[in-house]
Amino acid sequence: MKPTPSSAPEIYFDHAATCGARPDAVAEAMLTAMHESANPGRSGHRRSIAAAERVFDARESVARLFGIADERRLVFAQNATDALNLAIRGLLDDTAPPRTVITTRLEHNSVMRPLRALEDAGAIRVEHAPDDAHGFVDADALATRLADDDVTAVIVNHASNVTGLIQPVAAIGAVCRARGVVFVVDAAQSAGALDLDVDHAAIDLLAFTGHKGLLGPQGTGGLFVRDGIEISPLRRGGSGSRSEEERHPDFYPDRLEAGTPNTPGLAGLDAAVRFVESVGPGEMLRHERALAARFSAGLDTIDRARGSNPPHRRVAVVSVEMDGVPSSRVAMRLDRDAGILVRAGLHCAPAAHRALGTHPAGTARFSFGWFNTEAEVDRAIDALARIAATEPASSTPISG
Amino acid sequence: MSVYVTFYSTHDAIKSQRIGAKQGWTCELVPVPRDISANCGMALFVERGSPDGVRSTLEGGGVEPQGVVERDESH
Repeated sequence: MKPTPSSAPEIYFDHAATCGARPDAVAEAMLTAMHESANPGRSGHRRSIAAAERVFDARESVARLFGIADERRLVFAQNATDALNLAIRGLLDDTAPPRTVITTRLEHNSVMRPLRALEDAGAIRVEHAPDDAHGFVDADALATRLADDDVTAVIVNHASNVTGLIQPVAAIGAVCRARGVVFVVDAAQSAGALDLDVDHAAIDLLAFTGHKGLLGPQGTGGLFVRDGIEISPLRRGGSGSRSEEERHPDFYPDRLEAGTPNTPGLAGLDAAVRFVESVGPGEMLRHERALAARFSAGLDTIDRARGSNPPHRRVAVVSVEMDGVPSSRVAMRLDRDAGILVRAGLHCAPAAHRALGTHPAGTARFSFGWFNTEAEVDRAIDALARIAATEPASSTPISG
Repeated sequence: MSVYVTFYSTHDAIKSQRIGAKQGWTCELVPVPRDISANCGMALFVERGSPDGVRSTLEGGGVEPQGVVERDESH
């Protein structure tokens, strides 16, 4: 029988997957760009110039947010996964002889799958950074490991999409810089939530997405490439520059951008970043962390439930396990009974769940956003308490 | 005299127009004249500009022009 959705007002706690609401200015900017509808910089007419200005403004805004001095070193991509593929393959595809890449136990598949593909091809060896039981990297121990001269790159998920744990990127960056190792940061969960400065953290390659903490549209993201780091393009084609040549240009940003960009998306991203700047990433994080803390405190009152609670700084993500109840069933009942939307399972991060002992069952992940309220958190706790009180000791997973 | 400035990239063309506007230049982005060779399809036309002065100002703003061509014309 087809399930009947809850009639309760929706509550969206899946911001780690994509933001649940966006500032009105984002859609307005996108609509304007859609109406202008021209190919940025490909032609010299007024609409093409206007479209090129949209892309330019977005590049400047994101560069400003991340402390990137030369905005040309920021290239746009579809999302963080796209940017990470560009970073990893562009850096490592032609590595010879095989070199070692060190990463963390809390990586998303957007890092692990490109790495494993290169490993399977014999191009690299993958190794985990020394860490504690929660996956928090020990920068001092990493420095000792990097004393051996076989490591090409260190790749770190800045904030875990499973537990919210924030890695000490500034300390890791300093270690990598001192050893001449390329430092790659996946900021999918941290961009917009944390102050992030590529120089302060000595980041060589920074991948971000526009549609999560930055509150922008899906289909936007990008990669910062520090001057001096050699990245081979994965795509070549039209760039609006050097049109007489059949070789792709080697100057930035054109070197790593080919084909018509997502101009409406980038116009929306520009508006989103300006909104985030107007509020302040610190202020947003304070609000979201307060909600996460309220939620964790509520969880403590439910005997069968427990939340991830690593003893480190975190973004507003809490993974929940309920004794005897599969995460998929918890999430389904939250949706059907109370209109509460969370993500169950492994969150595209099986490595992280293995590290945390929650593989293969996974967790019901609650991720809080700027537009969430305390009242919504309280409703979630009430709903979880009802599920805990009514589910039999051993439920069967929901399938289909 | 006026000048046409050509660029390697679209990004530099837009950046230069912003720099020129801040400087109070009478300038606009135009399609590159067919007799001028350029990487990027847009050029910055600066009315009553001196080639050296325009180049120097743009370089000070972080743009390396591909070329600066002086012309006796106005838009």
